[in-house]
Amino acid sequence: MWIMWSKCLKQRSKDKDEDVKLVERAKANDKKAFEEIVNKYQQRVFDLCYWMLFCEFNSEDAAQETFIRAYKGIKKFREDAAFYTWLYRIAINVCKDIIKKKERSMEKVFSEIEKEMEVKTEDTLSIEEILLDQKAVDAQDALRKKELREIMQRCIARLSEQRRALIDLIYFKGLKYKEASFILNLPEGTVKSNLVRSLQMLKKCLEPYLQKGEI
Amino acid sequence: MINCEEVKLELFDYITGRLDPSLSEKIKEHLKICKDCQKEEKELKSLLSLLDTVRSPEVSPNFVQKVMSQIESKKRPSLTQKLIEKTSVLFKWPFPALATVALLFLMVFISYNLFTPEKELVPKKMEIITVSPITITPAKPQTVLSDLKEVVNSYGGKILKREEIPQGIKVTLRLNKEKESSFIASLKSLGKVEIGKDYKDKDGNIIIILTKKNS
Repeated sequence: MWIMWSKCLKQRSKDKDEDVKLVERAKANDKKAFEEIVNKYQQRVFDLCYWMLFCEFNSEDAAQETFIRAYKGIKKFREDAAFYTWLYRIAINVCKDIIKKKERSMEKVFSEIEKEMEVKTEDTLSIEEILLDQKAVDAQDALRKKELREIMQRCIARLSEQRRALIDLIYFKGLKYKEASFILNLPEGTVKSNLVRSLQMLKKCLEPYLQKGEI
Repeated sequence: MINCEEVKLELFDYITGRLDPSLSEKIKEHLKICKDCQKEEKELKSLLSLLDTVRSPEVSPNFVQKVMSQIESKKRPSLTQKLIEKTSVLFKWPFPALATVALLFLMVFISYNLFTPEKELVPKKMEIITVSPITITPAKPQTVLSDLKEVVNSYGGKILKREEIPQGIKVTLRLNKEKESSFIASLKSLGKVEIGKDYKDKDGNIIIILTKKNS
């Protein structure tokens, strides 16, 4: 179920203490310390890039570029903000650069092909996937769950990249609105209203299923 | 008293435990008596539990290594940097050094024009250096190669090369351009497909990576 706020607060306070020491060492050219930072934040940075770009292949490149930029600029980092907010802000900027490049390139043509793929191919579920889904009572249940997951993914894809990033930062990472406002460079009030609007949009997209009580 | 509009605005924070206890208590009391808001709460909880199923994929196992080796390679001084270091004499004694360099250039220019026969200027063929291939995370890793071969054959294509790389197996294949989009669409039957920006090499062959990771 959903991540509880208090649990997130504890985790973040632990992160902050650890980060201060690691960043201090990394600033003094300790490469081992920076490696520990990469190890600690690799999945979190990748997740943020994935939510922003919604593409696994580009997300890994974006996450790598984030850490490289962080390494180059770590001496400029001032401790008045939490290290992870600074790191996530770099990730957002890297993703924005990728999106800009994509818009200029042939990516639109490929997204058309992908749309075509969605229409042409039937939704099938492999035996392995059915067996892996422990919660599924039977194959039909697993198929229905997979179908709902895919509908959800399509609904998320309709949100803007900034709103998708917001869902990751606030819901999955459990960040404060103030922290998300720094990362996305938006006023705090806008962050909250954007999140509420995004959830309403998702709800509207899933309305037929929510009303039928399928979820 | 708190009204429905206010409750709806705070519902996400209420469910995820972000609110201070007094406001949380007010919402709790309101929910006991308001059917509309109860429905909203139920729908939002369903939406969030469905959102939990759309987790991003795992970052690749050698991610840290990749980042650190990129940092390492960028840290080594490049050829131009070395050249600048070696030519630092220019900055210490600029006039004699510049005069020597100018004289050398003049000598090379004259000898080149005297002894080299005239040539026609032919523009070099542009080469796309970076290839971001089509990546397939197979549903059935054991049979994916033979399955891919079957798909390629059915579209009248030919597998030219197959090689082991750290991410999995790299397959180079040739296919009629007209059949390309429907061929790519059919790849979905083999597993999860990610389409790269430039999935063709300089000879126009399609590059596919069959990853080891089974999602």
